[in-house]
Amino acid sequence: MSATVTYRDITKSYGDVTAVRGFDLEVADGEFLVLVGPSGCGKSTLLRMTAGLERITSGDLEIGGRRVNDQEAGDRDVAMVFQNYALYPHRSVRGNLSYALRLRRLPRAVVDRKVEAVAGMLELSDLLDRRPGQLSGGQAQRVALGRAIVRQPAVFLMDEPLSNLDAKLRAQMRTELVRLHRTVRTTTIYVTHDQVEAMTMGTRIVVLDKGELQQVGTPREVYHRPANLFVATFMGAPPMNVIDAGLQRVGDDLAAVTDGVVAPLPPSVARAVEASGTDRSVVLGLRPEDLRVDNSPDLPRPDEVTVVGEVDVVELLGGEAYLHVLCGAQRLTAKIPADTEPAPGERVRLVAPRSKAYLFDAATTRLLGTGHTDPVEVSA
Amino acid sequence: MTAAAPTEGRRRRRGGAGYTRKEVLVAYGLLAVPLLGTLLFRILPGLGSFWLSFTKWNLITAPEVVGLDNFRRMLDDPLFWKATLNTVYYVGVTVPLVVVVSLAMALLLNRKIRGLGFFRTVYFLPVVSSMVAVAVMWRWMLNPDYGLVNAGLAVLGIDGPSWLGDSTWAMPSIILVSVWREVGFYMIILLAALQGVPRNLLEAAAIDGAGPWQRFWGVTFPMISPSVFLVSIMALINNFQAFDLMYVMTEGGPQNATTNLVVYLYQQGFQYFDIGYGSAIALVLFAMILAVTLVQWRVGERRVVY
Repeated sequence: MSATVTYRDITKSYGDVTAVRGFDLEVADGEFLVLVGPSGCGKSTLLRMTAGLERITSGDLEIGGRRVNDQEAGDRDVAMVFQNYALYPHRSVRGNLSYALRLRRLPRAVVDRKVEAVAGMLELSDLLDRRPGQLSGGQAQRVALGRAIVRQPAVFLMDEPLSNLDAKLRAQMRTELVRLHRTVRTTTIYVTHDQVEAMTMGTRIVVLDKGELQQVGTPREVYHRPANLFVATFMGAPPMNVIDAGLQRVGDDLAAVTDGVVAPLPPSVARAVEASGTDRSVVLGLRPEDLRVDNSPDLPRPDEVTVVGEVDVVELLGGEAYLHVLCGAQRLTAKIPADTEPAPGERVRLVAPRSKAYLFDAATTRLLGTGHTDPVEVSA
Repeated sequence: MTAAAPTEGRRRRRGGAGYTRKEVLVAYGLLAVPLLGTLLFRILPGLGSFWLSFTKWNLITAPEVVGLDNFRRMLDDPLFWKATLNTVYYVGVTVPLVVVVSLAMALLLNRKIRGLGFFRTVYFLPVVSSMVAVAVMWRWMLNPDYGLVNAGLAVLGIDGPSWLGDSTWAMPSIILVSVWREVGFYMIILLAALQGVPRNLLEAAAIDGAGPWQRFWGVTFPMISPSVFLVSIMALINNFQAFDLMYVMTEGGPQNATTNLVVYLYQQGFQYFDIGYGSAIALVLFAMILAVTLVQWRVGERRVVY
């Protein structure tokens, strides 16, 4: 039933504007692939091209090994869940769920059986005779999902399906969708601008920006080994701190240094940086959760990144706090336990293990290296 | 909040429904103008006509109350029945035609085609043209000897009839002209409705496997059904009251083939100065329109699905 989806050099332009440029990707059968990126990055266009709602300007799209560029949406065996659900307002929930099946002229008994089964799975059995206007947001969302599932298509396409729900329901539906995917095992391409959804739901994440693919990988890979500054700052909340720095020798080690910041590089990163032949300007990346406050007098230590600055604002979130620190012209955020929070105006030292530092080329924004070792890679 | 609360209280006390006395006066003042117009030119003449339908009045001597005489006279008046039949014929053909043609045109103009603004303007032009000018122009177009229509037919080798002079062709000719004139107006209403159909719904139906025809009947038509309903009621009421075209193009002829109820009541009232009989016919016409609209409303309520 389920199928692979292959994108080969897919480009979409509207006149002079290119929405998607040279997109290549192989989506495995049964995969839950998340396309993530800021608005206007081309993710929805890509999804709509997959559905057959937009024509592909150039390149080949294959579903289940068949080229579908010239196939009508209805012939591609895909189902789509829209952001605003797009339920037929004049049909009951039952009518919405059965429409596609009835168009295929399935026998009435079969249609009824399938609709009842899906309604049972999504807890819609009591709502079958309601109209969409009488449903809550969460119920409408489930009907939209049901309408896709009941067809048992080769591919599910989902266009920000959770963005119209309130935060609590969204979190709940996230896990429900993951569970659902585990049950039906159908290839799913899921578009979102929400990096939390991307991290929690995807078996793989595709990060897009300005119509171009930035990185493909598992959530772990994308988070711990971002290919460039865009991916590094897009994934993660609060976003990674980025600090313009220069390369200097401190003692025997190479270090990224700027006002109040000293970041000795692990030997592997130092070698990578030297091999890349970059000039002396780099961007240092530090995740807020890797920073902690340490005001002991023996700083800096050779195996730690040290940042000295003044506390600007403290945001208390309950168990933890965001510490916003001014360090020369740069502003950093640290995520710290709430019981250790310093007061605004206080001078603090923030430290992070040097293995947690990321180094990017200032000119190309590419990742030069990080001492960060992915737990999965270690075990592998 | 603390500042707003007393204001709220005062408003409630003085205005009743949350308005100050001044706001209420201004509102009624503004409402008075159209209300007065409606009262003077619609309701009072209507009531007057209602009363006159029970009288005999020649516009000169005082009206004489004759009870139900005028209505009894209708029963035995072959011309009244002919006019009623003509009205039903005219309405029965014109209204469905107008609805179907204007919907078809709205569908065509709802696409992204070249010269869209031009076509929309062209189709709307007849609506804003003077009815008498339209009638005169079409009388010339349909002239059997030098009219454009028969000249065109002659090119195809067809010998066109005397459109307005033939009792078989006169009514179809008038129906044609009235469809031509009205569709632009209803097209605009339906076009607005079509543009209100969410694109996502049509896309969802396309992905569900619906072809263009199934998308129209499965999504588009149900979504615009309130507007189609509105258009058919408006067209129905307007065409029951049709007068100008018949009056200018054929004066109800030939052999009363285009005399509908309005033309007939006009003839009775203002040519034969039998205001009482004319008023009685008007009252019957009113009852007919009311009845048909009520039936349509009942059916529509069940059919309009969204």
